[in-house]
Amino acid sequence: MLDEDVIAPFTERTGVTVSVDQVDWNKLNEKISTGIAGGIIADLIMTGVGWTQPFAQKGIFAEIPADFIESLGFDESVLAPARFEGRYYSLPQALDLRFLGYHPEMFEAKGITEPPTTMEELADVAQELTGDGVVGLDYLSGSAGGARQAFVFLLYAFGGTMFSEDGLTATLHEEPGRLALQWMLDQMDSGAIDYDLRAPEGQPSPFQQRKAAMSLVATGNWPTWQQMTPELCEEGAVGVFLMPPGAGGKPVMFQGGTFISISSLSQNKDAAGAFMKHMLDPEFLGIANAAIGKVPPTPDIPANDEIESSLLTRFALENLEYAGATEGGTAAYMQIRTNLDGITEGCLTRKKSVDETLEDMKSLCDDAISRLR
Amino acid sequence: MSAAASPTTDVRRRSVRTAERRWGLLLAAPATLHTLLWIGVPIIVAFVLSFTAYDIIHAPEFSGFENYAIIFTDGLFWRSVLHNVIIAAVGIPISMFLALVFAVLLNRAIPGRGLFRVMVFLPHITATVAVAMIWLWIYNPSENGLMNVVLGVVGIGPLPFLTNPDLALASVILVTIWQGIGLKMLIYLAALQGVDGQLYEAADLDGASFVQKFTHVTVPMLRPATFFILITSLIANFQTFDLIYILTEGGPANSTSVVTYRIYQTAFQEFRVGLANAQSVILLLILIVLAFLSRRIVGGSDDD
Repeated sequence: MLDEDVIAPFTERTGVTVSVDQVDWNKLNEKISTGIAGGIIADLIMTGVGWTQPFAQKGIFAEIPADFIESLGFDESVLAPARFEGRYYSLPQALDLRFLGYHPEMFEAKGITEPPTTMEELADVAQELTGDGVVGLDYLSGSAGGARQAFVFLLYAFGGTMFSEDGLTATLHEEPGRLALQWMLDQMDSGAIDYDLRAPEGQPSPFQQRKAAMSLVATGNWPTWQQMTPELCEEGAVGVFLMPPGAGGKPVMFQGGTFISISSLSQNKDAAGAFMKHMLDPEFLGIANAAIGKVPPTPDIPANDEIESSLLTRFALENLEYAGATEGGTAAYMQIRTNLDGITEGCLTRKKSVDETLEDMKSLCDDAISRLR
Repeated sequence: MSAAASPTTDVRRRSVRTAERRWGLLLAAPATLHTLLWIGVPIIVAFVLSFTAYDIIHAPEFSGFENYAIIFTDGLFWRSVLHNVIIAAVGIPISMFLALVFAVLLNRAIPGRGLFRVMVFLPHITATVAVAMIWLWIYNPSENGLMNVVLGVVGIGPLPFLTNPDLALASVILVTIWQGIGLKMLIYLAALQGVDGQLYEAADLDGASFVQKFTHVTVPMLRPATFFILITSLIANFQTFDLIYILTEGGPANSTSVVTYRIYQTAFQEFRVGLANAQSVILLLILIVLAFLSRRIVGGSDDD
C-alpha cells in the first residue's frame, strides 16, 4: 500500500526514488544505532514516541524548521513528543491512541448507564462487572501495550509525568506513580484486573472474546477487530471513553505512534525534506493511516471512508486534545524503556513492593540520565 | 637387532619430516587463520573495549575498571547468571539422564530403532527459532493451548506458563531439556558402541544383573562421553539466547533473563557497549571456571 498509494505519486511528481527498509519495532533501536556506527543510515527515519529526544541529543536527527511545523496546524498535544530542548526534530505521521472500550450490553445488564468519569468510579464499575467468567477490566493482557505503557498511562491519569520539563530529572517515582501502581494492584486484589489474562499471539483479545467487560484499546486494534470479530465493528457494538482523571484534572488518552525525522547525516536532505512534506500532506496522511488503523495527527484531512468507518479512529480524532499521556521526555529514554518493563512487571507480580518499585524506577532513570554526554 | 642409519637415510628422513611439517602447517592454516580472525581478534577487541565507555555512536573513551565495578553491583546481571545456573543445574542432569536412558534403549535391537533414533534427535537439528515458535503454541495460555489441554484432563489450569514469573523459568527449562536430549543421546549411543563387549561377557560370567552391568560397566565406560557432554552442555547453556529472545524476551519481570540476553540488552538496547564487553569477559571467566570444576567433578583426563 505504502509503495503504490504513497511513494509512487511522490516519485512520479519529483523523479526521486524511495526505497523502504522495514524494521520491526523491537529491532529498530539497534538497527538505527548500528547503521550510524557503520555509516549506513536512511535519509528519513520513522521512529516512535519517546525516541526523538535520545536521537536528537546524539545529533542523529536534524532540526526541522519551526515555520514548516506551524504551517501544518497540528495540535500542541501531538507535537510535544517531537521536541527536544525547545526545537523540533521529528513530526507525527501516524498516531496510535489508546483509551478504554466497553461492551454496552454488559453495562446494561448491571444497570450501568454511563461510562465512569473518575478513577474511583472506574474501579467500582470494573469490580461490579467482574464475575461469571468475565473480568471487569482487561488492562494488562498486552492487546494494547505492555506493563510499562499501562503504568505510564495511569501515571498521567493521576496527574504525573515521567520526567521534568528539561528531561534531566525523573518524576515518575513521585506520588502519581505510587497511586498508579497501587491502583493496578488494588484492582488485581479485587479481581477486576487479572494479570494472568493474556492475549495469545494471533488470537482475539479477551475483550474481543467477551471475557472482559472493559479493556484498554488502541486505535490500531480496529483492523484486527474487522478481521477476527467483525461483529464488534457494527454500530453500537462497542462503547469507548477516555481514561478518567485520578486527581481531579482532565481525562487522558495515551499517545503512541510513528514520527518522521530527517537524518542529520543524510546526503539527500532536500529530497528527504520533500518526501517528509509529501508524507505529511493531508491526502497521504489519510491514505497511510486508514490502511493501518492509525490516526492522522490532524483532523483536517480529506474525507476518507475507512477512517470515518472506524469508531476508534473517529473517537480519537474528536479527542486529540486529550492525547497527553506520552512516554519518554528525556534524552536517556532509550536506555530506560526496556528495563522499565521488567521493573513494572516485578511490582505487578508482587516480586517487589510499590515503594521498592518506585525506588528502582528512580535509580534506573537517574543512572541513565547521569550517563548523558 | 638394530642397524645404524646411514647419513643418506637421515637426510631423507629429515626431508620427509620437513615436508610433513610443511603440509601439516599448510593444512592447519585455514583453521588457524579462521580461529585467529573470528575468535582471537574479537576476544582481544572485547577485552580492550571492556575498559572503555562506548555507545556505538561516539568514539570509545578509556574508563579503566569502571565497567567491572558496575557489573559487581548490577543485580540484574547476577540474577541472569543465576538463571543460567538454575537452567544448567536442573536441565542438564535431567536431559543427560534421559539421553542415557534413550541411548541404552536404542542401542538394543528393537523394532523401529532407526525411526526412534531420528525422533529423539529431531529437536536438536530443528532451528531454535522453530522450536521456540512450536513451544509458544504449546504454552498458549488459553484453555486451548496444548499443554493446558493436557493439564486440563487432570483438572489443572489453564496456566500462564510464560507470563507468570513463577512458572516462566521452569517452562524454559522444559524446552531446553526437550531440545537437548537428541545430541546427548547421539554421543552416548556412539560411546556405547565403543564399549568392549568382553566386559559385559565377563560380567555375565560373574552373574551380574542388568542394573549391575549398567552401573559397574556402562556408566564408568561412558565417563569420557559424560565429561564431554557436560562441558559442551554447560557452554551451550551459557550461550542460550535465541530461545529466550523468542519465548520470553527475558520476562516477565526479568524472571527468565539469562547472561547472553542481558549482554544483548546492555549493548543494543542501552548502548553501553563497553559494559557489554566487560560482561562478556566475565562470562568467559565463568565458563573457564565451570569447565575446570566439571573436569574435577567428572574426573576427565587429558585423553578425554
